[in-house]
Amino acid sequence: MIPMSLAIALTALGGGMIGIAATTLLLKGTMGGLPIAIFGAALAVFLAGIGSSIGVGIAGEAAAGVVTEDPEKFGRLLLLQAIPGTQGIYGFLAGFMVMFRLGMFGGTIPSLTVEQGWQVLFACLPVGVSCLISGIYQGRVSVSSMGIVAKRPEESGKALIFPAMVETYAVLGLLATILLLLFGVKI
Amino acid sequence: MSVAVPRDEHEYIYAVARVRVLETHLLDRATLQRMVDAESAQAAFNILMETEYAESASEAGDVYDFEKGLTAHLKWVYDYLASFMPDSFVLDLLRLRFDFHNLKVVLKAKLLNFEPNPGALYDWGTTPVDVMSSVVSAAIEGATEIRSKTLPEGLLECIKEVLREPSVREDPQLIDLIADKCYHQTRVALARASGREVLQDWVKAAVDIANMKISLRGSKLGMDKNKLQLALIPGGKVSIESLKAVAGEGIEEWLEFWARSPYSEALSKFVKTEKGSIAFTELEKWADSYLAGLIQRGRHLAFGPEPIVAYAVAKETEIKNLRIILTGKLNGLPGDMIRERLRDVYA
Repeated sequence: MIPMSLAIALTALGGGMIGIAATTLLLKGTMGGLPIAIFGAALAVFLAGIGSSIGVGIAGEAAAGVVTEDPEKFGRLLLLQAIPGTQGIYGFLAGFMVMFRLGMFGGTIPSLTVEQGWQVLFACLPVGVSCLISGIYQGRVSVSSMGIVAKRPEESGKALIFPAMVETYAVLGLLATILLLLFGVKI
Repeated sequence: MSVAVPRDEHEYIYAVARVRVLETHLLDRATLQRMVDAESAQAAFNILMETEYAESASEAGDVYDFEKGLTAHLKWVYDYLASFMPDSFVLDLLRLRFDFHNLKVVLKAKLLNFEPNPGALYDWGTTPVDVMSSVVSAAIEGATEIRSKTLPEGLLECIKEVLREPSVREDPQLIDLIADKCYHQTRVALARASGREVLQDWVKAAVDIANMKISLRGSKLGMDKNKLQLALIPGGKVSIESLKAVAGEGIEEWLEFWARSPYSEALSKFVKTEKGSIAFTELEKWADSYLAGLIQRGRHLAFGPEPIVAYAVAKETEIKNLRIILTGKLNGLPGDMIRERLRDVYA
C-alpha cells in the first residue's frame, strides 16, 4: 500500500513536470509562467496531503484497535494519531505562500515569465516531497508507539517522542520552501 | 483455509493493536506462582476466577471440572480473534491442528466402523466435523472425484493419502503418522505463501522438532523402519534424506545426528542434564519453549500478522500451564515439582 502510493505520487510529480516542460516548448512564447507556478503550489498541497492521509489513516486504524479493547486510552492515542497530520498543514501553508507571493489575493492575476514559473515550482518541491515521505513514515512510527501506549500506558510520554523525531524533516522541508519563496524567487 | 494469503502487512494494523491490549491480560508469572502456592486446588482455581478466565471458568463450576473451563476459554480466544482478523490465514496456521486431530478421529471411526466419541472432537477447527465426516464417508465408498470445495486442500490430500495406504485398516497408527505429516506440510505451504520470515522459521522448526520426536521414538522403541520412513516429514530446515538414513538406529546415532543440526545448542541444554538419555517429557517441554520462543521474536513487529500468532501461542502456553498447575494441585504434587514443569511465561 505505502510504496505504491509513494510511487503513484512521485510519478504524478515527474509526469506533471515533463508535461509542463513539453507544453512550454510547444507553445513557445505564447505560454506564461503562471500555470507552472500554480502546478508548484498544487504539488506542495497534494503531495503533503497524501503523506498525511496515509499517516493519519494507518495511525487511526491502530488507535481504533486499541480503543476497542481499552476505551480509556482515547486521549493519549488521539495525540499520536494527530502527529502525522501536520504535514498536510505544512503543504497547505506552502501553497498559500505561493498565492501570497504572486499577489493572487490582490484581485489581479499576475503575469510571470516561464523562468519565474519554474522557480516557484522547484521552490515548492522540498515541502511536497519531504512531507509526502515523512507523513507516511511518521504514521508508521505512530502505529508502533501506540503499542507502547497499549502495553505500558505509564510510558506514554516516551511514546510521543519517537514520531515527533520524524517531524524534524517535514519542518525542514517547509522551511526550505518558505525561504526559497521569500528570498530565492525574484518576482 | 484459503491459500490466498496476506496481501499486505498494513492490513493487520487494527488487529495487532487489539492484540496489544489483549496481551496485557495474559497471566503473569506472579499469578501462576500464587496458584502453585495456593493451599488447595480449589484455592488455586479461585485465583483463576479473578482473572479474564472468570467467565469461562464459571462454566466449569468447580475445580474438578477445570478442563471444561480451559477448553471453553481456548474456544473463546479463537472465536474472539477470528471476529476481527482481516483474513483466516493467520488463525488457520494455528487451528489446523484441531482439524487434523478431528480428521484422525473421523478416519479411524469410519475405517474401523465405530462411532467417534463426541468428547474427542474439537468444534473450533476451520472445518465443521460433519462436513469432514461426510467427505470421508464418500471417499471410503470410492467416490473418485471428491468435491474439493467442501474441504480445504490439505485435509483433502490427507484423506486421499490415508486411503491410498493399503494396510491402513490393519494398522491404524498409520493414520496418525500420515495425518501428522499432512498437517505439517499444509502449515509449511501456508507459511511459505505468506512470505513472512518469522512464520516460516517457526513452522519449519515445528517440522524439525516433530521429526526429532518421531526419530527418537523410532530409536527408543525400535519402530519398523518402513513406517519410520513414511512418518518423517519433509519441509523442515534439516534435510529429510540424511535423517532417513540414520532414523531407527540407536540413541547414540540420534544424538549425533541432532548435535550436527541447527538445534545442537538448544538440545545440549537438556541432553546434558539427562546424561545422554532423553526423557520424552524433557524433550516435550524444551520443544514447547523453543517453538514459543521462536514465534515470540515476531511479537514486537508493528506491521504484519506475527504478533497475533505470538499472542495465540502465548495464550495456548498459558492454558497448558494452568492445566499443569491444576492437575498437579488436584493430585497433591508439591509446589517445586509443579514449578519445574511450567513453560515460560510471555506476559
